[in-house]
This record gives sequence, C-alpha cells and structure tokens, in this order.
Amino acid sequence: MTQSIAILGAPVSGKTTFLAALNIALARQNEGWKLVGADPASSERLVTLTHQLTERSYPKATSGIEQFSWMLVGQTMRTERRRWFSPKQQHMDTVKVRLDLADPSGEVANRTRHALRDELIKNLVASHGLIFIFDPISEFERGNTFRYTFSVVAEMAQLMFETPEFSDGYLPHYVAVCITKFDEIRIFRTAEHSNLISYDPDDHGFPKVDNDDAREFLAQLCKVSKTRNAELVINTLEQYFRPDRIKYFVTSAIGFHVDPITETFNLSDYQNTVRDEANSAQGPSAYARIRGPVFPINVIEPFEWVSRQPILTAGG
Amino acid sequence: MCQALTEHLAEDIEALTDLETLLIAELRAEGIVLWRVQRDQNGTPCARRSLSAEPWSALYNDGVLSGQEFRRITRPRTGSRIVYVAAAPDDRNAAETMSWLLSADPDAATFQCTTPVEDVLRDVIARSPLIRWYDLVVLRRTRSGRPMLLTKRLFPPGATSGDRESFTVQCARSDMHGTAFAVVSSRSKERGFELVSLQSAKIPPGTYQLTAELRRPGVVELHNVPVELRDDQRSWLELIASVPERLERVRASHLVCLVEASGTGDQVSARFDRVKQLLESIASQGDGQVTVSVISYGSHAVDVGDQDDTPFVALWAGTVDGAIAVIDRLARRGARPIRYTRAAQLECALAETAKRLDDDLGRLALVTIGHRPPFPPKVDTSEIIPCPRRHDWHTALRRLSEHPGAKFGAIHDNDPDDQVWKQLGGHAHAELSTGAFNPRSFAAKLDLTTTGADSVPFPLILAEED
Repeated sequence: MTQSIAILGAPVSGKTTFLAALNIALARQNEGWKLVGADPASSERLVTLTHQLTERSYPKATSGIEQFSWMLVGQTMRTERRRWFSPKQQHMDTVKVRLDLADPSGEVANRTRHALRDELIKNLVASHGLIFIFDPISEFERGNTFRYTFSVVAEMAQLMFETPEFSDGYLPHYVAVCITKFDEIRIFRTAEHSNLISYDPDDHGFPKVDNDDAREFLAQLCKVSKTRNAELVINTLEQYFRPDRIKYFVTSAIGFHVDPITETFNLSDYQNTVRDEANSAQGPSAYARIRGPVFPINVIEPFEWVSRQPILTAGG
Repeated sequence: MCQALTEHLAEDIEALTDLETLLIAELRAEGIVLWRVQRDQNGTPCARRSLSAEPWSALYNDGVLSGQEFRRITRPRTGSRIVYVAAAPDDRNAAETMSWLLSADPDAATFQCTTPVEDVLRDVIARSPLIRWYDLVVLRRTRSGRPMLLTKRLFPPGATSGDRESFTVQCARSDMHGTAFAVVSSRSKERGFELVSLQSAKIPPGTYQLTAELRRPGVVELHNVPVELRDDQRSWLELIASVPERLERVRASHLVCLVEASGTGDQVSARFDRVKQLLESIASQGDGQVTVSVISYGSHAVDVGDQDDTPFVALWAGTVDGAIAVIDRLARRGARPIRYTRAAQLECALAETAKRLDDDLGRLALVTIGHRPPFPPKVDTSEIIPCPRRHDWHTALRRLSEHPGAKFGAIHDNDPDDQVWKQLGGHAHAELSTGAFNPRSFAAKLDLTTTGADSVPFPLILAEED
C-alpha cells in the first residue's frame, strides 16, 4: 500500500531544502531507504537539489508554481501472528511513501490563484500525514507562519467538515512539526539557554533537542517571533488536529559545521552557513552558502514517524 | 724592520712623559737627520724630523770628525734621551762617526738599521698604548629636559691599536653641519678634556649601534655610521653654543603597520599609499627613534577544504627607509583575493603583533589600515565565521594596550562607529574614502614626530631614568 505525505510550510520556509536534505540523510544513513522521483520532472528536480546541496549551495527559492512528487521507498519488518495461539512471524514489507511537495514557493496559498489552491487543499486532505515546516528564522523576519497555517488548515477543515473523519472535530492527519534551522546561531542559543540541548554519542557528537522537548522549544521560539503570533501556530495545529497525532521535531537540513581536523562538533565554531556578499553589475548583494559537508539532523525521523502511523479515521 | 731598534723605541716612547723628548739621530749617507718624539696635549706621541739633514761636511774638517760639533748637533735637552741609528753602514762618514761615538760614549744607545727611522717610528707610535682615557662626547636629557654634556667611555689607558668598543647612541635632527662625533682625552674623570678628533656627518635621525676602533693613538675610527664622517672645522665653543637649552623627550618608538591587503585593487593601492605617506613623513619629520614593522593580512579561508594562510610579516623591526621599500614591494604585488567579504584576519595580525612585541624597541605605535572587522574567536550573532585559530581581537588589543605608552591609529574605510576600528583609532584616525589625509598630523598624534624640535649637535644617550 502506498501512503501519502504532504509537505506544508509558509513561503520561503525551506521546504525544498528540507527535501533535498532528506535525500542526503538517507544516503548517510545507508539503510536501504531511498528517495525516487515519481515522474521525470520530479527525478530531475531531485538530482538538481541534491547536487546543489552537496556542492554547498542553497537551492534557490522556486519562483512560480511547481509541483513535485517523490516516493520514499524502503523496507520495514512487519510482525504477524496468523492465529492467536501461533508464534509471531516476521515479514519484510516494501513500503512506499508518496511525498507531495506542492506550493514550493508558497505562492499558491495566495487566494488569487483559486484553482491551484483548491488542488493544494485537496492534496493535503487526501494525504495520510503532514510534514509541517516551521522556519523560526523566517518567522523572526516575516512573522507570517500563523496567517499561512491558519488559512490552509481552516480550508482543510471546511473541506472535511461533512466527512465522517471530522466527526470528532479534528482533522484525521498525523502531523510532524519540523522546527528547522537548528544549526542557526539564534536557534541553537535559544535551545542552549532553555537547557534543552543534549549531545549524540555518535562519531560527530552533534547536539540535539529530544523530540519530547521539541514542543517546549517551539513555544520558547514563538515568544520571540516578529508578530508574537507564532504561538498561535501551536494552538491552531492542536485545535484542528488531534494533539496525540502531532509530534514535534527539532531539525536541521544542513546540520552543523564539523571541525575538519577532529571531525567533531565544536561549540566554538558550528556555523555551517556562510553569509557573504557577491559583487555583480548591480552592486554587492548578500547571499548564503553552505560552508562544509551537510549532516542533516532529525530529517528522516519525521517521515519515519508519519509513515509508521496506522491509517486511522476520526476517533479511531 | 730592525727588531732591536723597534723594541727599544717602543719602550722609550711608552715611558715618555709629557715633558720629555726622545731624540733620534739617524746617521745617513747625506748627513745626520734628527727626530724629536714628544707627546702632544692628548698624550699622543708625535715625531718631528729636522727640516734637513746636517751634512757631513759640517762635521768633518779636512777629513777629521769634529766631536764637539757632533755633540752640538745631537745634544738632547734636559731630561731627554737620545738614540743613535746607523742608517748607512756603507757610508764612510757615517761609519766613522758611529765608530767614534762608540769609543767616546760606550753607554750610548746605538743601533744599526737600514730601514728608514721614519718607518720604524710610524710603526712604533701606532702600536704604542694610550696613556689617557679616550671618550666620546654625548648629550643626555635630564628629567627636567635640560641637556647634559657628558662623555661615553671608549678606551682606557693601555688600550692599543685594534681595540674596539661598541655602544648605542641616538642621533636626533641636526643642523647643516650634522651630528658631531668628538673624541676627547683625559687623564682622569676629574681632570679636563682635550679634543682628540672631531668629525661630523648629516646622519638620518635614528638609533645606531656603533663601534669605535682605536686605529692608533690619536685616531679613532667609528664603524656603522650610515654616512661618511668628515673632519669638522667648528671650534669647540661653536659646538657648545649650538647645544639647545632644552631637549625634547626622545622616546624610541616601534611603529607597527597592519595593512589589509585584500579588497579591490584601488582600495589596497590606496591603503599602501597612505602607509607610505605616513612613513615618508616620519622619515622627514621624525626624531629618528622609530623602528618599523609591516604586517599585511587578508581573509581567512572560511569554506571547508580551502587552504588558509596567516598574516604576512613583511618586515619586523626595520628602518623607516626599509619599511618604505617593503611597502613599495607589497603595493606592486597588488590586492589579495577577497575570499570572504565580512571579515579580515585582523585578529590574527593583532595576535601576531602582541606575540612578537618587544618593549626594548620602544613604545608601541600601532597603525591599522583596512576596512573589514576581525573574525570573532567563536560563533556569535554577527554570524561571521570564527577565526580558525580562535584568536580574540579583544585579548590581543588589550595585551598591546598594556605596553607602556602604546598609541593606536587607524586609517579605515569602514563605519567610523564600528567598535573595533574605534579602538584601533583611539589616538589618531583617518578615513580612506575622504581622500584627505595629513600624514604629519597623524604621525604627531602618535608621537612619532617631535615637530619644531631644535637640532642637536651631539649624539644622545638614554639615561636609565628615561
């Protein structure tokens, strides 16, 4: 059976970069899972995005409207007991999860484009789960996450209002809220000051925020958003989706800079984004590039979590 | 050379007192030549010969030597000694005279030597030891700023040809005659001085490590003087009259120039041009006590895999002229590539300066010329990538500030309110972009010049209290 996961996020929240990072994270994990394009355009886009990220360039924000579809393909172990008295048996199942990235530039959410917006909402409604990208930096600077989230979720609710899945007053989707850009100084420092950092005992010793603490972390971040509306995002999500079907993840698409000599995380020097200026005929312009190797953090986990969830109906 | 005569004359001349004369009668083929050796006012043995030889014809009458006449000619003054030298043994008159002398005065000091006495005397006098102290006249600034004339000891009595003495002096700005190097002699500290030699030269202001070599009594040669010394005809009174009533405080300075060498070609060229203007101003106006170091720096490699490099110490503790040459070379080399626009290795250049700095070279004057801020030592909200060597500009600048008398100047094209550049330009600052730069005023603010100072006729020495 093919599941479907939709990726949702405010304009310029890094959805494309996040997906490109997923491909790199799967390659680093090397456990058989892979990302493939569901059509030639999506395959080509996947190759381009991955190439850009490994070449230390941030994918450019998509201009115009594009719609891509990728398949997350892998195998999972399934345990089955045919009769209650017979022993359990394990089976390898091939799992395919369809990832729909609609509205990459965020512009579809503009009400002037009704037809495409209708399609987006239908896709979201039809999906098994949602990956909701929350970019704290973008929220600091633009403060538009709540407006975007509320409008999309409200329309989903409107569309499902008459369906049995909405009988308990909640949308039936599983929602993985990905708080991105953990590698950014301001985000990392907020986690530090909130005493939410722990360190992975892996080779690189990367810091992390446990998923159980991620909601609290998001609450902390929301307090410093530009419009102070960011905390409404949590409320909105938990009003429209069953709170037990929402899970929070603190993630980073590019990860932290790794000391080239020790190959470990260094608390004094962990920036993996280089902000610089480029000169052109129009004069200098600011841009960002990736400093070193990409080590995505907590990027696979949201997809794993959503894809592991049973397809349930309202109240189920 | 006649060994016996040489040794005898050396002993006689060494024992010669101020009032004595050593007489040498040189019996030549043409007659008798008389040499008188006396010490001058400096105790230097001086030999003078008679204007012409006394011909044998004046001593021989019908082939017979007049002993009386011989005694008259060679009679020494009271308290003097005489040495007879048979310089022409083949000459009949000379041989007969020497023979007569030996019979008439068997105790007379007689020698046979065909080497001209002049050559023997020159050699003996050159190797004779000093009997006076030899000193160099110098000036010292007292606490109140008044000049004090004193001497720097060069050679003690007993010193001989080839002896050397090294010492450090400072030469301040001088008048048209230049700095005078006066060597004087004295019997003791308490007694008066006599001038041995006076030479001068228009020497660029600066600190010099000189070596005095005693060539022979009365002749002292100074080595390591950058300009050839010439005899100075000024009288001692003239020299003393040219000593100013006050001496400005002469403090040795170590000017360290940190130049950001990355940027556009025009920017970098303008930065080197400013440094050169400053150095040229110091060369023409300064008191010469300036040692110069030049460090150029660029940007760190911030991308993983790029080769990083360190600031380039183009010159350390050189002269002003040497620094100008170095700046010319760096300027010809052009701008280093801009690898990262947001910061430059200023923190590494400051750390390198702090590591190398030696107060013996004088108080610090740090001049920084550039645009970009330093790299931070660790991640901060500026989002500038940290310095790969974790150098902290705050720490380095604090260490530099702790050097007594340190002064800071900055020539920059950055935001004048930038915290780093504000501190770097604490005593003097100029903006590169305005085009207006007064190197003389800039140097004066850093105490690199002593505008309006009088010329100083003698070399200076630093006293401990300075």
